[in-house]
Amino acid sequence: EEDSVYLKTLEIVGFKSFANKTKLDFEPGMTAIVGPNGCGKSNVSDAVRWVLGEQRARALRGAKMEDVIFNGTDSAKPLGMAEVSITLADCSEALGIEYDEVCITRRVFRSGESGYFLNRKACRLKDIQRLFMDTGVGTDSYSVLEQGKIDQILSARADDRRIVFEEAAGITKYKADKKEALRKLEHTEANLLRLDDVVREVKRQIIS
Amino acid sequence: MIETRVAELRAKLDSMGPVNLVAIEEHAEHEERYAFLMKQQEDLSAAKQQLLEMIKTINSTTTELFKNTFDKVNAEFQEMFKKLFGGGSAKLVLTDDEDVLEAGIEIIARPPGKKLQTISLLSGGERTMTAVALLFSLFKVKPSPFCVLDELDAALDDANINRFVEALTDFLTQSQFIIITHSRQTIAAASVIYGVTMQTRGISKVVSMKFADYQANEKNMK
Repeated sequence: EEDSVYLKTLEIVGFKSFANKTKLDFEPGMTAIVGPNGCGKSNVSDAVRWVLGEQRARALRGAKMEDVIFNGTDSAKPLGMAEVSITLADCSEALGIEYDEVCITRRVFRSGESGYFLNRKACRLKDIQRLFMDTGVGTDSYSVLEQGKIDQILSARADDRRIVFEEAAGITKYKADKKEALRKLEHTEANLLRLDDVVREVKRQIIS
Repeated sequence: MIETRVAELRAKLDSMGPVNLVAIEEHAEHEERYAFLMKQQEDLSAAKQQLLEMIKTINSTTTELFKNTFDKVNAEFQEMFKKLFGGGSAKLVLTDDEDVLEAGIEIIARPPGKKLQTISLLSGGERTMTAVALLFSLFKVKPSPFCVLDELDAALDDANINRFVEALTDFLTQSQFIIITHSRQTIAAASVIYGVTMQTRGISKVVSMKFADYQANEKNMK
């Protein structure tokens, strides 16, 4: 299928072990990334997950988000910023937009300041998520399958295993809506209770 | 007679205490406040009703979506398991059919020539292969235009990797794969290869091993 969306390039700079600007070009089909253990192969998949909006630092094997920034070695200084960009090609038809290539960038500074960019213009993560809604691109979907997903599926805990299915069913968003509705309901019920007390008091004053 | 009556009325008047001259105004104020509060109560009750409706709708929508996806994945999984194991059978079971939104998911598998068992009793390789079968089934139901596979094949032996690569190749018409791997067999199925090395300790470097000429040749032959 010639015109389905595909990942064209991945550019990494200052992200984890990729201190220097690194660019990978992809083509439709299968690309293999090989190399010895501990040389940073998995940081490539972490970079893809991160640029798509991964919020859990632990899922990226760090304690806080700033930990993704290249932290220096014996011979190299730590960097102040990490940036990952992916360019997706053949987007216009699939996403119903006027440009054919979409570039998503995520950046984080050591100060904690961070941001997302869509075709080099600042945007919110929400804008990116909205653009790719229902296409299967995103952290909640199957754009990146790693050992952790296998662990999740093999987990003894039924909850862990459910999460994978809930993502596939696309109900993660509804669960957030429900949580919000339940919170509002609790708030409304508390208000009703308080109002009941006031009403009773006013009633008493009217009768006397 | 009259004097007694006057005394009586006076006593009654005294018992009433001082006259509250603003009582009428106060009463009107209270009435107004009461009406306002009743309106508020009505609004809050309506809001509550609306929220309860909304939660009910979310529950039924998510139940339907989940059940629908579960059934589809289950059907794919039974196929995919057979393909990846070269036989046997497997299925997914909901631990509670009544409460789909809270139910656990049990994976029951029978590798070729073995008895039906839960995944905790399978060997390491069989477990990984079962999980891969399930992931591929999920992927089939909810495909992504591209997918990065990070060493999913790490725990598989040669025979299993061959079937893994075969199943993966079937997906290539629908998705692009970027696969991080150590396996020679998996690498052989790729059209482009990147090597990641650390020439300087702690700093990753990417070496392209794209076989452009080879690919062009292949295209010409087609």
